[in-house]
Parts: sequence; structure tokens; C-alpha cells
Amino acid sequence: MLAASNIRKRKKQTIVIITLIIAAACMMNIWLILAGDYKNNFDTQHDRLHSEHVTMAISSNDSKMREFLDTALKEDPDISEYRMDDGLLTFGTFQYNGGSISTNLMFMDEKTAFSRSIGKSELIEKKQGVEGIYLPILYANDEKLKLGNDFEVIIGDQVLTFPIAGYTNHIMNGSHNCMVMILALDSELYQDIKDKQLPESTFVSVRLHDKQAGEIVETRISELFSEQYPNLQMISGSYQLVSSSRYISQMIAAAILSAMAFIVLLIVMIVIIANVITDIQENMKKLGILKAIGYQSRQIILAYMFQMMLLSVLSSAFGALLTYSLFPSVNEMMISQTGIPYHMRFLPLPFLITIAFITSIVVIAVYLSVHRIKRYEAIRALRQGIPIHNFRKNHVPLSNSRMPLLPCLSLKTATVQAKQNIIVCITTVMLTLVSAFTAVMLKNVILDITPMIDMVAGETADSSISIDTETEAELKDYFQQDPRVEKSYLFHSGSLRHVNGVSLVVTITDGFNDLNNQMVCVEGRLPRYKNETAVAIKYAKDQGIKIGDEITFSTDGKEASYIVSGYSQIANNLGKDCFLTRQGYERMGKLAEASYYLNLKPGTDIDAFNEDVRNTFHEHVKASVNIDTVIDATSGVYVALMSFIVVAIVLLGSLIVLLVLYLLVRTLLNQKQYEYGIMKALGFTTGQLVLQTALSFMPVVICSCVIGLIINSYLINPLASLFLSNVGIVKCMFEIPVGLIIVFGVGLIIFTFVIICIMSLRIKRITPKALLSGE
Amino acid sequence: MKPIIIQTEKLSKSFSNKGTIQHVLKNIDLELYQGDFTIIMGASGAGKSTLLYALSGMDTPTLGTIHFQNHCISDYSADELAVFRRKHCGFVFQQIYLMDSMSIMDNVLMAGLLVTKDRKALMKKAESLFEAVGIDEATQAKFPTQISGGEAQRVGIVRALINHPQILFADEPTGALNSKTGTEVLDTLSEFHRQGQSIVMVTHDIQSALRGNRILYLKDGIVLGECQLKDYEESGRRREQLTAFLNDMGW
Repeated sequence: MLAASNIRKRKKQTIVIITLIIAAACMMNIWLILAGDYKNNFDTQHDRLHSEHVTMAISSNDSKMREFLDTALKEDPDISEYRMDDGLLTFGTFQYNGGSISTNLMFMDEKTAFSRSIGKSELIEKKQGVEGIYLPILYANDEKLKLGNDFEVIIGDQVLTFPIAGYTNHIMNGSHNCMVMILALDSELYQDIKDKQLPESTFVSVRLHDKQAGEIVETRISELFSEQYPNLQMISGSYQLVSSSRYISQMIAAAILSAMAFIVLLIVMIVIIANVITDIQENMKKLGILKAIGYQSRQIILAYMFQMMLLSVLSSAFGALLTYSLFPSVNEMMISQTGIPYHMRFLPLPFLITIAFITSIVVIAVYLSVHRIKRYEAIRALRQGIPIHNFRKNHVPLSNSRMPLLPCLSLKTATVQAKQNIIVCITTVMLTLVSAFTAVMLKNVILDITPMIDMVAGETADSSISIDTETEAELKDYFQQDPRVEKSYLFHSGSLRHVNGVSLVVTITDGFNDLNNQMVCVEGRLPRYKNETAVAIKYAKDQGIKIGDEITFSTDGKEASYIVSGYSQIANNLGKDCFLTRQGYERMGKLAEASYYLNLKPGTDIDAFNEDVRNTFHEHVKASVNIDTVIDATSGVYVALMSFIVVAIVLLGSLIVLLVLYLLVRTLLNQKQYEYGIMKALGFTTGQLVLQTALSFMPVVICSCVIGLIINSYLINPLASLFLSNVGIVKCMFEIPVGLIIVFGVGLIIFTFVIICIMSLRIKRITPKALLSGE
Repeated sequence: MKPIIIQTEKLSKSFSNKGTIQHVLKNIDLELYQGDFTIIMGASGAGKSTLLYALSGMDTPTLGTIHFQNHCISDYSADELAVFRRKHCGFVFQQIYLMDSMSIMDNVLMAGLLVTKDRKALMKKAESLFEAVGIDEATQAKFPTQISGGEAQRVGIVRALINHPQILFADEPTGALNSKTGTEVLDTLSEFHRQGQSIVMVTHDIQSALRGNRILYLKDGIVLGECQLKDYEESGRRREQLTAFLNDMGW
């Protein structure tokens, strides 16, 4: 009865609590779906299409090589089945999402691609009457890559064009972030490009008894292969690598949503506690009557808890169901990163977990606030219980204060509203976290993607040219003579194996001082000498490798030991990479080709420059990449995702501020109605009282804001590292935009002040006459 | 002839409740004079308090005008009325209405600081008023819940007078007090009246009404009659005069 009257009397407060519960349930359910079923979708699809646990793309179809590989795979006890297919492995560049993508491509005859017993490509959509290329489904969102349009790919100095015949789903090689991307081609077209001297290659698909052994088997086979065929290119991928790299965005979004859901739940808890306590204080007499006529505290407490529990179950169920109308847009955004179709369906487990968890939180909050009923005996409750404030101390005496009247009165209110201050403080600190996050993302991702790209890709420049090492010296001379070149430096990626460990991506350069992004080294320094290496921080931490330790790498059948000079960090390699000097690398093997990064003079047409290089060195050029356009294409997804998250967080944050302030202002005005009536009778205007109310919140808002922003500015990088550690970012080094954060802080304070002023306008309805006539 | 402070013309106030209109004040033409201690009497529901609220700018009339000196306050907005009240009026309420969250001194200063920023002068004025009503320094530091009803009402009077109001309105100021403390409060009001303070007081109580020099009797929303009481020195005759007047009015 009491609880029901509370809900009836505090309709608006109840609506606010319901809204917050719905928001929390919605976020929590999305988070559970993303972290659970959505992530498991990879496994589901992987099983359904009988996909590989290890893939290998080899730049040869030599029968002896295949025989060797066949024996090695047959003898490996971890391998359950495998197959080898023909393909054409090359490195190509194509336009996507307003930029360009450069990646390893494996062209495959459509008959082969769609019929393989392991890792077959699934046809998602086909344009009837068009014979051409089949692109992975993730490219379907690009207007220029619609069915029937032409797909243009630059390979070496050739430009190949194919009509887009359909979209496919390939689990292990269906995206540009899977090391090698499979493109199925109409049989005739396949034959055509085969004749254009694209290297006939082999694609190996391997399934294991235990998928967890993917990385180990991949390393083992790669090692065996490179020992036997050091001059052949082998690009391998494992189940672990691909499943992580395709779900980076999903992991980031899930982590942010989980954090937001818990923040909202914390606020729900605080709001419920404040609401119930206020209600008990206001209904003390009613409580006394109930106790006097024989109700037990337990009965009253249970009534409260049952009522709120019911409210919570219904609201969280509604919030969780609401997820299903929001999820399609989240899915659409995610698919551009994962490239794996996800079919939404009702998931009872996340639904029930959401309801159970939120209801438990609500029940705990209600119990924490309502158990005090036990303390009030009937007679004490009838005498209106306990005083709400402690008046023994006059914290701001008007006689001594030098402040003007209104700030003084506001400060008086602020000093006696302990509960209000705690809620405002917690809410503001949470919002400063949102503000700091937004400012950091604006600065480092949305407005300028470079810091994010530096973290993800490690190093960026304007152009990248790969050339065979025989022609390397000529190319270097060419760079020196071309006035468009500002800086050129070796920046070549390959792979090697950490003996007793796994396969690592190795970045080789002559001079690490030339790198544009010195932040790639997060601790210690990059290698200077041939016996030094820098190792990915995530891998080093996982393996217990310390700076100064000696580790052994192997490649091309040779081993060499290196002293760890520092830790590096590149998300692209999911925390499995290392750096070596060229001399250092050549202690194990020779480079067959070398990639050079170039900084070109401002205004240089990068594509024209690359074309000039291709025209000068012809077939010696293995790849030429316009890095700017690659960044544009790949960063689009991050920028879109981060913009969506930032907008969602800002909107949600604003909603929370509005709801919490609404509750607090309403409660404060209810408590102050009497005093404000007296003050109006004495000559205070509505404006003065509105200002006084708003000012009473300001000390705690300003203090919490300043403290929150300072703390969160320091916390934001460790927190981001926590979320991104799965993708290899152990030490996040986003630039903290102090100016922007200050602007956000000031904005938050002004926003809060204005909102409180607007919400306090109901003071206008308080009239001195109403006070005198006892209304 | 005493100067007029407040003048009403055809002052009317009506309330509407679920379609039923209740006319509480009906076309009242009234003048209140400077230096008077005006008592408003009448039976319950006669419109005494409504008249007091209208005269003091706490409420706005439905029809008619109220002039405070040369200003037509019946046209004022709520905020203009608030400014008017703080500058020109003082209020003593039956329920006292001190702010529980503030000390006694702060209750008074809060009203005073609305009008002046000269804290020193204000403190001096407050202290002299406290002294005049018999509130010592220790009590001034207390909170309203820690003092007696009589003391609280005397604090209410100090608060009402802190801004040198041209007129003091008192709505049954002894209604919530016992007879002894009630008398103390009335003595205080009489003393201030003697010093020249204009007062308008609503009361049911003849003993309280005897403190005034002009009695207005309200019945069914109109001023049925008024009487000028003799000087304080002739207190015995004042009572007779008032009783006779009230009998005439049907009290």
C-alpha cells in the first residue's frame, strides 16, 4: 500500500526510474548479445560452412612443393583433414568506402570456391545474367560496389576490371583484414587472368581436431615450409587470428556498452535509494499509523520490495525487448567490420540474465533504503520520525559571510543536502568520464584519425612501394633524384617465428629514427643494432619477456638470438609482432623484396607518383600503395563506429543528466516548497529562487566536474587499454585534449545549470498565498 | 488628516471551485492611514485574511484596484509584487513561518539582505530590534526548533521590521500562542505602533483588537462598519467602545 502510494504520488519520479531501467536493460542486453551470441556467430558460421582452422596461401603450385606439404599435413597429429586448391595469389589495390584497400588477394575459380569441402565460399546474393567476380558481402554497403557494377583492381602495373556478379560469405578469408582475401571468379575470367601472368598458387585449407591448436599448427607448418622453400611466399592465418581481427569493433562496442550499462545501473540504484528514503520521510506519519495498527516492519519492507521488483521486471523486460528493434542498426554497422552476416533472433538467455541482474540490483537498492523502517517505532513514526536535517551547525552564517545573499543561501542549501550532493557528485563524475572519452575520441579518431591509425597500423606515410631486392638500389637512387620525395625509408613486413612461441609479424627497417610514428615503441627503445629487437608489449607480457631478455627467432630455417630493447604496439597484428633492423633480420634470412615508405611533398599526386614508379620499374614493382586512400577506406569504419558510439554516449549521458537532475530538483522543490513560500511572502522573486536552487547544485557540480575531469583524463588511457588489450593495445597513448576537455567541463557545468534553472521554473507555481491558506 | 498609505477601489476577490463562483470580497472601497494600528475583524469566512493578502500584495484582486501611495499594485506582476513586498511591507504570520534550516539571526538577515547590501548597518538594526523584543545574543544563534513559540513570534516581528516597512501586516499573530506569550507579542507590536509603525492586523480576539486604534468589521465580503478607538490611556473605555461596536456589527 505504501509502495503503491509512493508510485502513485511520485508518478514522474517513477517514470524516470522506469526510463533508466529500460535504458540500462537495453544496453545490457545488446552488450550480452554482442559479447555472446554475436561473437559466437563466428563459430556457428565457421562450423556451418565447415571452415578452416588454418589457412595457407602459397605463391606456387609446384607439384613437388605440394607433395612435400601433403606429407607434412598428413603426418601432423593435430590435423584432422585438409585440402589444396588452385588459385592465383597476388597483391592488389581497389577502391572501397571512398578510399582504397591494399591486400593479398587469392583469385579462385568459382567452381572451386563454391564447392570446396573445407572452407567453401557461400553465395549470399547473385545478379542473374552477370558473369564476373564475387566479392565478400561486407563490400555490399559501398554504393560503387553494387551488383552489376565494375570492380577495378590494380595489380602491379596492371588494372583489371570485372563485373560484380555476386556477394559471398567466407569465414576465414572473407575480408581485407584476414591476411588473404578470396575472390571467386567466373571460370572464363579466371582463365583470362591466369594467362595474364598472375602467379599460379596454392590455397591450403586445414581443419584440426582441436581448433585451439590453430596458432601452434600454423607456426609449425609455416616453419617446416619456410625451411624447405625459403624463397616461396606463404601467407598463413589461424582461427584465433581471424576470429579476433574480424571482431575488433564488436569487442570495443561491447566493452563500451557494458561500461555504460553499469553506470546507468549505478545511477538507478542511487535514484531509487534517494526516492524511497524521501518517500519514507514524507510518509512517516502513515508509517506510524500502519505500525500502530499492527503491521510489522517486515510486511511493510516486503510490500515495498515486491512493488519495486515488479516494476523492475516489467521495465527491464521491456528494455531488453526494445533491443530487438535497435539491434538491426547496430548489426549493420558491425557487419561492415566483421563481414559475417548475423541473423537476429530472440535470445532467451541474455534476456533472462538482463532481467535477473537488473531486478537484483533494484531489490538491493530498495532493501538498502527501506530497511531503516525497522528502526522507527510506531510512536516515533507518528511524531514524524527523525529530523531531515541536522541544524545544529550553521555552516554559512549570513552575518559573517561576505558573499551576496543568493550564493549564501544556495551554499546553505548545498551544505545540508548530503544525499543530493552524493547523487550529483556520482552523476557528474560519471559524466566527466563520458566527456573525457568523447573529447579523446573526437581528437584522436573523429576529427583526426592519425593517432588511432598510428596505434592500429603502427606507421603511416603517403606511399608504399614494394620492389624486388635486385632493383632496390636503383629504386633508392630514383627516390633521391625525384624532387617529390621528402623522405623514403625501408619499412618491410614479413613473418618469423619465436622459437618455443608463435609466428610473429616482423617489421624491418634500416633506421628506426626515420619512422613517422615514434610512439610505436611504448617502452624502452626500438632496436639500433643487429642483435636487438623490440617485441609487441602484449606478446611480451603474455610470455613473460622482459626488456633485456634474450629471445630466439627463426625464419628461412635459421635461428638467431636477440636482446629485447623495448616493447612495441600495433593493433593490426593483434599484439603479435616484433621489430628488427635489416642487418638483424639478415642474420636469419635474405629479403626477396623490400617495401619502402615514402613521405611526399605536400600537394604531390600520390597515385601519379606511384604510377611513375610502376612505369619506371615495371614488373620489378611488386606493389604500390597510396597509403592515404588506404587510411581513408579503413578508417571510415572506425570513424563511423566511434562517431556512433560518441553520439550514443553523449545522448545517453544527457538523458541521464536530465533524468537525475529532474529527480533531484523535484525532490528538492518538494522539500523546499514551504521555505520557498515563506521566502516569496518576504519578497523573493521566482527568478531569485530559481537562481538560488540552481546555485545550490553548483558547488558540488563544479567540484565533481573538476575532480572528475582531472581523474578521468588520467584514467581514460588505462581504461581504453583495458578495453583494447584483446587487440594488442596494452598501453593506450591517446593524446588528451586538455583544451577540449576544459570546454566540455565548462559545457557540462553550464548545461547542468541551465537544465536546473529550467526544471526549477515550477517555483513559479509556489505562491505566498498558498502557504498562508495552507494549500 | 493622516496620509493615506493604501487605498482600494471596488476591490473584489472571487474564487471558482468546480464551476461554483464564490465572491469573498465585494467592491470594497477602503483607505488605510499612516501611523494607524488597523484591526480587521469579522466572523470566519468573512474575508479578513483574503483582504489582508490583497492589501499586502500577497494575492491579486479579481476586480478593482489597490493603490499603495501612488502605485497601483493591483496591476503588478508576481515579481513586481515580490519587490514591492520586500521594500514596503512586513509580515507577521499566525504560523510564524521561520525557516527551520536557518539560525534566528539568519532568518532575519535573509529578509534584510534582500533590500540592502550594507551588512554592518543591517546587523546593527537587527541587534537593536532583537534587543527591543527581548531576544538575547545566545538565542539569536539558535535554530527555530530550539526556541519557544513566543520567542519565535517575536523573531517573526523582528524579521518583519528589519526593512523599515511602511506597513506591517499581521495575520492573527497570537493565534498559535498561549495567552502569556500572546500578550508579550502584542506588547511588542503596540510598542512599535507607538513608535510610529503602521500596522494592519487580522484577529478574532477582542484582547488583541484592543491594541488597535481603528477597527474594520467585515461581513460577507464587505466592510460592514468601522470604529476609531480612544487613546491607549483610556483602556477601560476602549473595551466598552469596542464591545459596543462589535455588538452593533452582530459579533
